[in-house]
Amino acid sequence: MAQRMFGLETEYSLSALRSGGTRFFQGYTAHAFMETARKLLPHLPGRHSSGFFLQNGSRFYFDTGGHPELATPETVNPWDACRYVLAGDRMLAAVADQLARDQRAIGQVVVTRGNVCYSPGSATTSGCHECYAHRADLMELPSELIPHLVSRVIYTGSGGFDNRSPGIEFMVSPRVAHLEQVVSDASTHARGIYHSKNESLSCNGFHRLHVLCGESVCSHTTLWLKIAITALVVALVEARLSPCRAIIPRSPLAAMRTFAADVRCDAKVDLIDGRQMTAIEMQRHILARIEAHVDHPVMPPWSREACGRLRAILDRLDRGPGAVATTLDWAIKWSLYREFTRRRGVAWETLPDCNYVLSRLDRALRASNENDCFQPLSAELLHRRGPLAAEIHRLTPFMRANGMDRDYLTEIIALRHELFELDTRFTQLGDRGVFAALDRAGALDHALPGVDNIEHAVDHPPAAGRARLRGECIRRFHERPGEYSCDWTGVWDHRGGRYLDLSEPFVSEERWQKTF
Amino acid sequence: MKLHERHNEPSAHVQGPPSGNPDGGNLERVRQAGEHFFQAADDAIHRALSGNSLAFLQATRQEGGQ
Repeated sequence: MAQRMFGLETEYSLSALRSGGTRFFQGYTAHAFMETARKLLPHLPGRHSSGFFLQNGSRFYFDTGGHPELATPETVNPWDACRYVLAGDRMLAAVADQLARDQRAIGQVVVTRGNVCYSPGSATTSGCHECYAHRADLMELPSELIPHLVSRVIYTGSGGFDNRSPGIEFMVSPRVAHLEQVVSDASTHARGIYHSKNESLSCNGFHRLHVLCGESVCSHTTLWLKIAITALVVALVEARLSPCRAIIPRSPLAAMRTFAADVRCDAKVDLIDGRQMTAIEMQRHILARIEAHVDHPVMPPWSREACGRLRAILDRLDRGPGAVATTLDWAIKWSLYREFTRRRGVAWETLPDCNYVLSRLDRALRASNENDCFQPLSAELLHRRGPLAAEIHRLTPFMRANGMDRDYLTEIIALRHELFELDTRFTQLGDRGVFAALDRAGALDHALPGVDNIEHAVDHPPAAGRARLRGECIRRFHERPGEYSCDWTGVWDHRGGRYLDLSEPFVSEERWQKTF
Repeated sequence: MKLHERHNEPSAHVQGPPSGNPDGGNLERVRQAGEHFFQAADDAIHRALSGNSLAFLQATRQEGGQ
């Protein structure tokens, strides 16, 4: 049995709102949040990187676009990976509460783990990146891993709406709409299914796979499976056991988009060998490959349990989305938003007709937009004489045949805004979060034994690997400002002129060396 | 609006929670769990929504992440 090592980087969205609902300048909010975190969370400053390292071994910083981000410590089992993500949530919720208490002008600090921004005209995305330490052949890894990344969305998807659509288009995995390439080394544009960044942060031949097509999720089952199964696929590639060579899609990007839009999970895609497969069938193939090698020396001790959990979810997915509607993120949302829509007087199944009309109107609006200034569809635009009047006239027979008029479209636009707020609030940290409220009410069955004791994970590092040594140093030295600094690969004692080398991921002894 | 709803009512039945296989004696438990889910959802949504969703979305605009 071998140990595998992995961690997650969660991108949060942050807004500080006045009691009237208007927002504070984002740069001010980010600065105030960072300063509050600096006071509240015991830490050592980063030596080569921005932000600081925390006593549980994680790193907190602000990243691209000015959003807070928390990278968990390196963990060696999926239970700990989940625990440290949840510990990060808890720490940032505490920082948000403290900031709101410190600054009375702030009515509300909204921190979410949403994967897409629904602000009109924004169409941006943030996600949850995964890191896996490995020694696999870098030439083999993309082709072996991509079929897994493409098909795993049926249980890893966060659910949500396509924020590039003028309509209401639910997706199993909304971030997929922002993937433009199969392989890419870019991360803020032209994103790929496979991110070819290779920044090891380790020695002894370890690479660090950086997966950026994934999403932040709330369900412990979703998160656990995402980490566990991907780690096992990487292990099989490392052992040259070809987990996915027999299930390579003819067009990976098209396949992923198909699966990301298919709540029934029964859509088939073309493979390069001429067969067609559903995402469930592809995952069953991967499951069979893992089970065939579950005792191989590269596999961790929890492999068998991971197989059992994956099999159980695939069996439930075979029965349709209702069978996972209290367990997996996307299915919880799908069920919730369908019912919300129905109670607003709109049948979910009619949304494609509405989307067709809204898309036509959006196109007409953009075509008439001479100064290229974004203008979202609105009730006012629908009702006044203007660029949309001619298109509405052309659409009138279709709208009449489907029971639509301008007032109905106005209600659909309002519903769209409500659903988008609901999806943003779903992942909100603190009491107002919808997922958290459903969980408190006992309405979900997503929890897993072993994903617990989160309070301990806030203050203490994992029990194994270099994160333990890093976290223990931070716990000992954080009250001596200016004397120590920290990074993924080491801890520096500036006054004592010594250095703790943590470049070996599984190092277990604290051996300080003199710095030169 | 109402006309549209009536046209499409037959397909509007909610398929959804809870998980499990709704057969035999299990059916009543499944129905109760479904009711509990949607009751909890009602409460959560009522507490979560701001009352002016467009303003909320504009106020929480984010620049792109990675």
